[in-house]
This record gives sequence, C-alpha cells and structure tokens, in this order.
Amino acid sequence: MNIQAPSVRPICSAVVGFLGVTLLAMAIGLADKMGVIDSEFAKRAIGFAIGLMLVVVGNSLPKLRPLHSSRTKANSTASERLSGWALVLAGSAWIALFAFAPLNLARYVAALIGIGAVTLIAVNWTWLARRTFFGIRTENERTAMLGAMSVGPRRMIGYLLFAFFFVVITACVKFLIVEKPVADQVASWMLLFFCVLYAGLFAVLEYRHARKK
Amino acid sequence: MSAGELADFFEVSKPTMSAHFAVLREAGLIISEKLGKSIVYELQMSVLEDALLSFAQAFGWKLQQSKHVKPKPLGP
Repeated sequence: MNIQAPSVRPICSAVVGFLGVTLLAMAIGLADKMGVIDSEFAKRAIGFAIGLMLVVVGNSLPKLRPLHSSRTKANSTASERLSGWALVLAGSAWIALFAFAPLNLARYVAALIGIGAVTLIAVNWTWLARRTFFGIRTENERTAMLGAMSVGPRRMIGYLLFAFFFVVITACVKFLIVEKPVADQVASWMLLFFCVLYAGLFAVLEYRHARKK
Repeated sequence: MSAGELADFFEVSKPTMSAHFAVLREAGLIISEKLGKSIVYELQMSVLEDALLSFAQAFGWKLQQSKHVKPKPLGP
C-alpha cells in the first residue's frame, strides 16, 4: 500500500494560522510592555490567542496526517482524530476561561487542561510509535518510513508541530509558575532550550532531505 | 472506495473522474492510497468538518443519491 504525501494546502493553512496567532500574541505582549494596553487585558488576550492557536492547529491536525504510514494506517487515523479533538476542546476551554473566568483561576485551570491534552497526545503517539518501531516492521520498512517523514511537505509538519507543542508547553509552565520569582528565568531557559532543539530538528530533517536527493 | 467504484456512480469517463480526484486531493479534501493496481480514495476531514458531519447525521441529514443518476451494479 502506498499512501501519497499530504497535499500542501492544509499544511500551508495550518502554518499561516499558527504564525498569525503567534504574531498576534507577540504584538499583544509588546503593546503590554510599552504600556499601550491594560496589563490584565493583555494577559487575557495572550491566553485567548494561545487557545485560538490550539483550535486552529488541532482542527487541521487530521488533515496534516503527521503519523501516517502504510503499516499503521487505521491506528494513525484514529490517533490523529483523537489528538485533533483533544486540542480543539482544550483550545475552546482556554478561550472560554480567558474570556470569562478570573485571571488567576483561568491561568491555573488552562495550564492543567493544556498539560492534560499534551500528555494524552504524547502517550497516544508514543504508543503508536512503539508499535511502529518495535513491532514486526522490517528494517527496510522502517527506513522507508523515516525517509518518507523527512521528505517534502512532511518536514514542514515536523517544524510546525514541534514549535506548536513547545509554545503550548511553555505557556502552561509559565501560567503555573507565574506568581513565583523564578518565572522569568524559567521562561528564558525554555526559550534557549527551544532554539537549541529546533536547530537540532532542522539539522536532522534537512540532512535526511539532502541525502534523499 | 476505489476509483472504479466511484466512477460507476457518475456518467463521466474515468479519465475525467481522475482529473476531478486530482483537484480534490490537491485541495486536501480527499486522500488517495495505491492498493495493488487500484487507487482507494478516502474523505479527509478537519475536526470542525467532522463535528459538522456528526451533527448533521445526528439530525438525520444524509447524503442522498441523485434521482437522475442510476448507479451501475458493482462487480461482474
């Protein structure tokens, strides 16, 4: 069975949505630092924007098919749907919380919901990966699958999802420790960690892509 | 459904169907898989589209076959 690569359009929509919401959140943060908008409004708006990001990326996740391979077709479709639904529901909850709940409560509950959704997805994907990599797959099939993941539009999905999950996890951690004095220091370290990991991912995927050529 | 089965539902030639499938696939609405000699097509829905379809089905709205097109029987 040969599954064709996902079309470029859903990937472009997801990337544009993710970057658009990220830029919006950054603009709100900048406006807050410059004192243009009220601080509490800015914090609510950033939480709202990250909720929107969860909905946008979660909605398009089943179309991106990040887990698809010929061997795990049925399992991966179910996993992608579950992950998409988890992110959309978590994002909707974030939006409602930051729109209506008191800010401190909204941050705390949103962080727990976010961590819950990410953990559910991580467990689900790890389970699928375990079956894919340690199942009855032969070495040739495994190499073919890894090769397929590093080619063309699939690389974009890798970059997008890595950045997305990192933003969500950083936001959850920040919301949980926002009152503590180490919050800013942790955020700086997470940003540095993100840059290093992203550079590593970029190097691996681009190296594989260059070797395929 | 395979390309052949789908083509049986419409009064257009198989190459025309194939061109339509290519457009739908490029738009990200369907996904195709090669199974031996035939190609199997499958709907590709986002979470929102999935929710809307479930909502519509919960209220009994179903896709109905056009009265003007009579499907050919499948198989020999």
